Amino acid sequence: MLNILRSRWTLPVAGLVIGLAAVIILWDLVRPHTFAGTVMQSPQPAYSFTLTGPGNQPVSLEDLRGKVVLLFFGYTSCPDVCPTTLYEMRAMLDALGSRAAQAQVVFVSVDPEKDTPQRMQAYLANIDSEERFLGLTGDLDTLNEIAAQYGIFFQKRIISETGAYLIDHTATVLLVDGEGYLRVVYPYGTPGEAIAADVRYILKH
Amino acid sequence: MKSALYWKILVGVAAALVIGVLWFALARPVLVLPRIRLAPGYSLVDAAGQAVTSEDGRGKLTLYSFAYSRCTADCESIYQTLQSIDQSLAQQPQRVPEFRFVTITIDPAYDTPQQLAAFNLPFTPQVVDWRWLTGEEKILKNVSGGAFGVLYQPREDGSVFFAPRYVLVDGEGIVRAVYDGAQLDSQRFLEQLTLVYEEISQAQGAARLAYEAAHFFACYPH
Repeated sequence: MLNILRSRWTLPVAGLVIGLAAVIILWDLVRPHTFAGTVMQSPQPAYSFTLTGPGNQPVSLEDLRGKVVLLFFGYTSCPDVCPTTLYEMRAMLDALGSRAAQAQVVFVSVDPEKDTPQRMQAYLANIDSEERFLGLTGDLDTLNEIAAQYGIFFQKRIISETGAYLIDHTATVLLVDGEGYLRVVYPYGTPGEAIAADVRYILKH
Repeated sequence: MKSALYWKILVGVAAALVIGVLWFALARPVLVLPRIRLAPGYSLVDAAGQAVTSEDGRGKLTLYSFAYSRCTADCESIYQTLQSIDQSLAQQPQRVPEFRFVTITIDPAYDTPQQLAAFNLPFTPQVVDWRWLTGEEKILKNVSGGAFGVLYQPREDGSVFFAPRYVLVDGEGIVRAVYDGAQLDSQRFLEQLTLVYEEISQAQGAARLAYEAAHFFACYPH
């Protein structure tokens, strides 16, 4: 052992290892993180809103400052896009582990006719038994105003003579950072794990 | 001796990285337009009464403008600008594909789809698809006045006071440029349109890193 330590290769090898470690650390510091969505450079904070949450209590975006907010617009009768996205959001929180408490998934209903706060709470608890999602709703005019500001289109589409309907809507997920700035826009289908990596990066920086 | 050599190499690599980053930030070899904010989501109707939504713009570059059919002198510059862009694009050997004009009325009470259909544009676009959109007054207020930030106010004589504005939106529904005023230099606009198009078509793999770095270092055209 002592012979190895005293070998004439010891210093050069140690130098090489330290050098490589330094380059890796330096590269990690300067390389840009590759986000899974489109990064925004909004100079202004995300549009502020107040909607109705669990227990009919008002909840505003400002109440969530300090947390990374993942905003998604949908409705509880949504057949495919909403549950798929919410399962990805659950996977995102699972991937975050102990840091999940620093992220908040917010599901905004675009179906105020049916989606009461109670109905939303039950629906979301069914998808995430740990009840980590926050469901919000409001009147149609308020929802129209908020949706327009967040680039969300939604429109009711009657599908039967009985009046049954679907709601066509934009299915992007929007990431608002802890300071209230819109940072990333994710297209439908972005894996939860990939979003978790972005959330981790934002929390770290 | 060898240890000193390794340290020199390490310092050299670090210096090259720092110089590379500084060069990129200062020389700006890649230019981009900023991703300013989200364009509004909407469902409106065109002059044919067909529903047009913001989702129809996915994958397309759109230049939004704001006008109304009863508008006279105030809107001439807007139409001239659109015509100039259309003519300039027609003369380009390699056109930006999937580019369209959308003009949203700021006088929805008068500008029904029938009224818009009867309105004759002072020019016929040669290469750019162009649509007039109208809809419910409160929806338009959210879209034009709220999300697009257009200042407009109906007057008692039926005319509308407004501050002309053009907004360039990319295929992901993100505002990439806002131009205030009725006059817009078509050559300058086409240069910027080309920048957005190049980014969308080329930002993959290693090139994506370069484009993201350009956004990070705010490498915007002057």
